[in-house]
Amino acid sequence: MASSEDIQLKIDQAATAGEEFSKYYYECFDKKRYLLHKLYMDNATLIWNGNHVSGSNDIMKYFEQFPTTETTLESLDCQPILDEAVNGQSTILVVVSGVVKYERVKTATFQQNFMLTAQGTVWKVVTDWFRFQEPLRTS
Amino acid sequence: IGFDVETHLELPKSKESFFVNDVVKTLVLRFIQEYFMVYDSNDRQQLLNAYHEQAFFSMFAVRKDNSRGPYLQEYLSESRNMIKVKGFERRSKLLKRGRLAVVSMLTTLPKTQHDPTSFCIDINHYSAQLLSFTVTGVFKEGDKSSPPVRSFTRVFVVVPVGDGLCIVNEQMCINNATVEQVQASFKSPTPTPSSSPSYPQPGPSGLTSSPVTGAPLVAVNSP
Repeated sequence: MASSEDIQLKIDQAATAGEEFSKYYYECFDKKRYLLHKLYMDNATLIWNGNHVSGSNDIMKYFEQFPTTETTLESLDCQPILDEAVNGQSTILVVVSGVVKYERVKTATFQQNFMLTAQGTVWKVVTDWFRFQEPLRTS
Repeated sequence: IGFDVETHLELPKSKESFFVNDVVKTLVLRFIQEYFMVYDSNDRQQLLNAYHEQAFFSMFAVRKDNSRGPYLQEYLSESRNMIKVKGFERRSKLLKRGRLAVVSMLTTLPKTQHDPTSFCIDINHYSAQLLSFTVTGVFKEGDKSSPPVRSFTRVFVVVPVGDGLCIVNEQMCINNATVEQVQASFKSPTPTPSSSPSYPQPGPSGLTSSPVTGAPLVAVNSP
């Protein structure tokens, strides 16, 4: 079992990584979407409003079809994933909520979460989950 | 004369829950039904065995100026929104560590009555060692006369234990439901807050064993 200093370090590390990641991720998504692929692992998976896409190449193709976006983050939270669950492989959970404006299409409140894992000296997205805050069944 | 520049004026259509396969679906649905049945009951202490000894839990509440419904005061004091909470010490305090800390925090949150028909469940990640899924939906705050409807998103990271699941990480987001969410929710005949008739009972043993790990529900000091 990790010492409490180790755990504290991991918590702080997760917080810093989550802050840097979220800043860079939405900056890329809104303005430099072509750079986004660098943040994903090759075999990453995306669930976007229930649509499942796997592999960073296909995820990029999926995002290419989206209108231009303008994202405003309202909340951010990060946790280190418990070592026991990931065999000590540094992994973090990043959770955000905010508002996204799709040019000429719609503006929506969304929630999103990512699992990031350390690959050498960089963090990479393993899973990306996204949903609008809206009911799916309206009647 | 303009330019032939491609413009995208559509987004993919939203779909319902994503489950990977039927085995995972059965496992996760059972977990969620049992978890929320206990969560909505008068005794959230019974969730102790659903969490790993060293589990992490945190939450944030989002207050939107244009949203309906009362203030989220009960949640805001525990809100670990790192856009607003900057100090390492404060952030560390708001991240609950260990099942006792997690469940004692959960017991301080307002009573709830979730609407299972509003649930949307997506499996984020699935392997033999680790399963991660996100649940969204709405709930009413139990004891109040005209209970506000809240929207929630909870992401669970779980590991298999026996033939059940044990939570190692959880993050919860709470905010006021939108008008559309309120209109779409709680369509079935008015349930009573004290019982949860909407959930199927978890088998003949009911609540005598842990919904999640199969261990006795009240065994606080189980391994």
